[in-house]
Amino acid sequence: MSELHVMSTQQSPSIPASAVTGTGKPLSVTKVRKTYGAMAAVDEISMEIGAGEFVTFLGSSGSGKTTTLMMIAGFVEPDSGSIVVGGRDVTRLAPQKRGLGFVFQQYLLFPHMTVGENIAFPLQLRGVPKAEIRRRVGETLEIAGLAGFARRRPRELSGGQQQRVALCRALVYRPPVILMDEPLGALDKKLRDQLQTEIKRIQQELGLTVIYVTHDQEEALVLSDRIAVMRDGRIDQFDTPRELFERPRTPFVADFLGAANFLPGQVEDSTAEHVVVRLDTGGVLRARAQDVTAGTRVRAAVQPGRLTPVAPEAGFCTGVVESVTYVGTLVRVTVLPEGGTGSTVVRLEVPAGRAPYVGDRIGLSADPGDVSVFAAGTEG
Amino acid sequence: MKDVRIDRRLFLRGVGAVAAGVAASSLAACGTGSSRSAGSSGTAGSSKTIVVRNSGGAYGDANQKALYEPFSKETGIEVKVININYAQMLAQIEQGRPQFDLIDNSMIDFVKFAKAGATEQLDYDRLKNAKNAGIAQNLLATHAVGKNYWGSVMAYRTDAFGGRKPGSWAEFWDTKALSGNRALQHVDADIPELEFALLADGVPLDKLYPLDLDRAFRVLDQVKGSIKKYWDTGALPGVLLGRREVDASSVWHGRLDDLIKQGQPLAYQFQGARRQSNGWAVPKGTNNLDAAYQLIDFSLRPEVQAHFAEVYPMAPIVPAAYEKLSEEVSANLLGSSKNLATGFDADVEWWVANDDVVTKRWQEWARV
Amino acid sequence: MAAPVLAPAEPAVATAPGSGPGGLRRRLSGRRTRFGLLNATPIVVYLLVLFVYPIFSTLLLSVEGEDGGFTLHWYADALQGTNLDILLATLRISAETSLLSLVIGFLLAYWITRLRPLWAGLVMLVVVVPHFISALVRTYGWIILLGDHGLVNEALVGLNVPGAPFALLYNEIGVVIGTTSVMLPYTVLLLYAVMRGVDRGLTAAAASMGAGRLVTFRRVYLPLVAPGLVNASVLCFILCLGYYVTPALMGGPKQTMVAALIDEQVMKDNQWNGASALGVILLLLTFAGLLLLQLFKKVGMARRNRGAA
Repeated sequence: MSELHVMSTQQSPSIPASAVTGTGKPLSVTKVRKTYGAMAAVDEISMEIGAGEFVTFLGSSGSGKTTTLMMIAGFVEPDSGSIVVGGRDVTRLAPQKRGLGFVFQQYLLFPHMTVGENIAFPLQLRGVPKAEIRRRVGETLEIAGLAGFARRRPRELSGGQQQRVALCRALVYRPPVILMDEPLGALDKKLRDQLQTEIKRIQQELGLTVIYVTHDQEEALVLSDRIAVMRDGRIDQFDTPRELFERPRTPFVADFLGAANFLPGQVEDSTAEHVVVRLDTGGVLRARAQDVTAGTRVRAAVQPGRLTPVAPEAGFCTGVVESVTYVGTLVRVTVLPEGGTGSTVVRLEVPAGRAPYVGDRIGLSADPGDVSVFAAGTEG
Repeated sequence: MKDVRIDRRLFLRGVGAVAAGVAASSLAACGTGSSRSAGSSGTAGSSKTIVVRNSGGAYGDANQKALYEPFSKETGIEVKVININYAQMLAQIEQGRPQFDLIDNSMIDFVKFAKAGATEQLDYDRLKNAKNAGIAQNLLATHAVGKNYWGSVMAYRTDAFGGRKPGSWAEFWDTKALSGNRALQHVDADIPELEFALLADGVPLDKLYPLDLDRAFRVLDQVKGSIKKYWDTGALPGVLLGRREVDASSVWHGRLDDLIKQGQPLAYQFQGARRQSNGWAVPKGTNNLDAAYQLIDFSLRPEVQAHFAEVYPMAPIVPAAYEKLSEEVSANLLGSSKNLATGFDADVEWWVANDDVVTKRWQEWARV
Repeated sequence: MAAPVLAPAEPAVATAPGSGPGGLRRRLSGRRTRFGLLNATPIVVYLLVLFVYPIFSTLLLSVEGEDGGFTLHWYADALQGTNLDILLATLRISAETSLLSLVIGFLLAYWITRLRPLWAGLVMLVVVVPHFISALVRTYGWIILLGDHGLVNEALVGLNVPGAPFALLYNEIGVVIGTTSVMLPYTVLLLYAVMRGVDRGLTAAAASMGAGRLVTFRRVYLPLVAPGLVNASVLCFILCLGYYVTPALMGGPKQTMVAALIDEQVMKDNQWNGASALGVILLLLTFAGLLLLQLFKKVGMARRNRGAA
């Protein structure tokens, strides 16, 4: 596998050397902005991506994640800001001169070429000798689990196979960064799970630097070293999945990643250890230490999976179980808290063996480390 | 993809035929042709309707206005019109049931009709206007009588040739002295213009027929290099001359009248004009002879002939008609005494006998 | 190494039911089939009356001697002397026309695919409208454009182009310009349809891998529209073979087409046998064109499937 890293010396002059040889990070984006009419699709985004990192742009449609990716690829020209690949400013360069790899959602394999020809295409452009091309195409197919598919036509393959060919085609010439635009979006759930694993495996085996766009939180969590959660053309938080999950910086991030429960209340005390919140339902909830002063109206956020059912009155709130839904080995439970407005329910996820029954009166408890507080009025 | 078939009948549609007019008249004609009422084929003499075949278009309109309407007014005989072609006419006559009582057609076709035995021998005693009227002898045939002259003349741009006017076919042929492009008629349009070549070579007007084919084609060779286009529709010479594509061309007389009126620097040259004529013939099998003779005779009245010439650029064949026309109008008509002398009549008998051979030879000559 | 997600797809083998021995008879005896044949009767009669019979009688006429016996001398006539020249001129003009309309049609169709729908429709209209103009008006238009004193030549003279004015009318140049303008709608429509089917994303994909415009065009776009190019050129060639309005309008006697010759023989010379022979030859040339098309397609398919199994 290590031979794959050996690059041919015969490079086409217009295409930069694809191995990470330049100075600095594989990619740095500085204050990139793109407006369509009066609307800012991307509003001064900046980020640095390290070699071998798997970064995901996560957001709903219209969040600016795809526009940002297209600007990095060169298909969309930014109004301002700069994009530097391997120390080279490519902001105003055409896509074909950036030397990046791109995997499209619609695969976009060349229908008139065989699988092998498709993968050989970028190598031919770079003037790689025939024998070398043959060897590298074979190796790459093998890595993707497609050995023996070289002479097939794209239309003879399933969607998952086609997307793996597209992946091979984007990585065979070892671009410094591979961009992927919702590559699994057209596949069904089971296939998507399988391919996620494979993409991650290949990325790790080859040490690829990948920028991945998706609107699927789960996918982002499975694949990424770091996730940029995007909203309205900005990055809400750019962090590891763990940080995002455990220390969401905005209610939006908390909600988007974990569909968090938001419980309104008022800060009673804020110490170095934790924050004490008096919930509107009456109970007291301890959250991890944060920079809030006593008396502030807040919303306490806690993921459904971090809530534990306890005896009535033993937790921060008590309520009646409204519904119990089995989802595989997990059970989703909704609880109508006492003292609430009657419209807000608390959602929790518990292992199947510990599920309460509908109508049960239970208490809810949470570890302070799993609870974040956000000042009321914070958007999201 | 369908081609417009261009033949000599198109010529008869005349100058400036407005599309709508053509459509309207041919529609009307179709109506009468296909649904001839029983009354019109009633017993001889008592019928009040006569069916005339003509070629329609602007020519048909002119006939309606200058001939049929005055005739109906005077005699009370209604004139219905039918537009069918030579082959259809012949087929109907051969079946013994022609849908028409009188044919208006070119004299050259009447030669063929007569040969096929399809037309009645004319009784000139019933045509008092044809007797001693000074009509040219070739238009008083046994089975057909002439009606109006038409023909081919030379036309040129008055601003070409440094003001010199080509006065004869010899000068038309002289592309050194009068340099410039020429156009001649294509064989698809009408009988080819071999006579002009022979005239250019010095053959006298009255010694043209029988045509010396070898000599004619030899002389045509001399001008071939200057012929830009062999025109195959009557309107084309006007276009070619008007756009200065050519400086001189043959043209069907009358076709430039509108352009000249618009002020284009174009003129006709009647020297060496080739005259042909439309005429009348009575199909065998009609039982409406009286009305047919009445209409023929009416059409040969000098005042009717003169009136027709005012409506349509075809010339009277009755000399007395010219006395009723102004000097200016007469000078532009093929049948005026001056133009009669400088032109010649196409020998239709000769052409019918030799058309196939000449056509084939012309085609091969042109393609080399 | 992970196993492929899906097993390789089996190449579909067309095994129609009842295609085995005796299958045909069995199928014909079916009640539904008999009913189906009954329904097909009108179309069969239609084809027999309007196509089979005329073609058959043309064939008979073309081998009928003056004495009524069998002869091939009409074909011999058609294939020698001026007739052969006309046949060759027809082939030459058709070839030149299909080549020119292919090049222009390609550029036009490509341009149209890049326009907004409204503009694309307008351009298409401009391409098609000349079809609805009468031959005479079109002639006049061409003279205004291409004549010695036409717009093109006046412009060239004005620009002091050496050799101007050029003879652009009443010769083969004129004919090819004219027939190309007539054929253009067909090539443009055919190519447009094929080009619309090419995913624009593919060129983006090529660019993402480092392919410049020229390489993308040559290696990706052209191969994908190639079937359309073949179709358009063969169709254009076949249509041209039987065409003669424009050659008559814009050419000289040397640009006579076979169709004009047939017309002449029937209408002027009343020579039906010779005309039939020419018609049969034209028909065979058309079939040859279609055969060539099939051949191209087969070759393309074989190239495509090379090693696919």
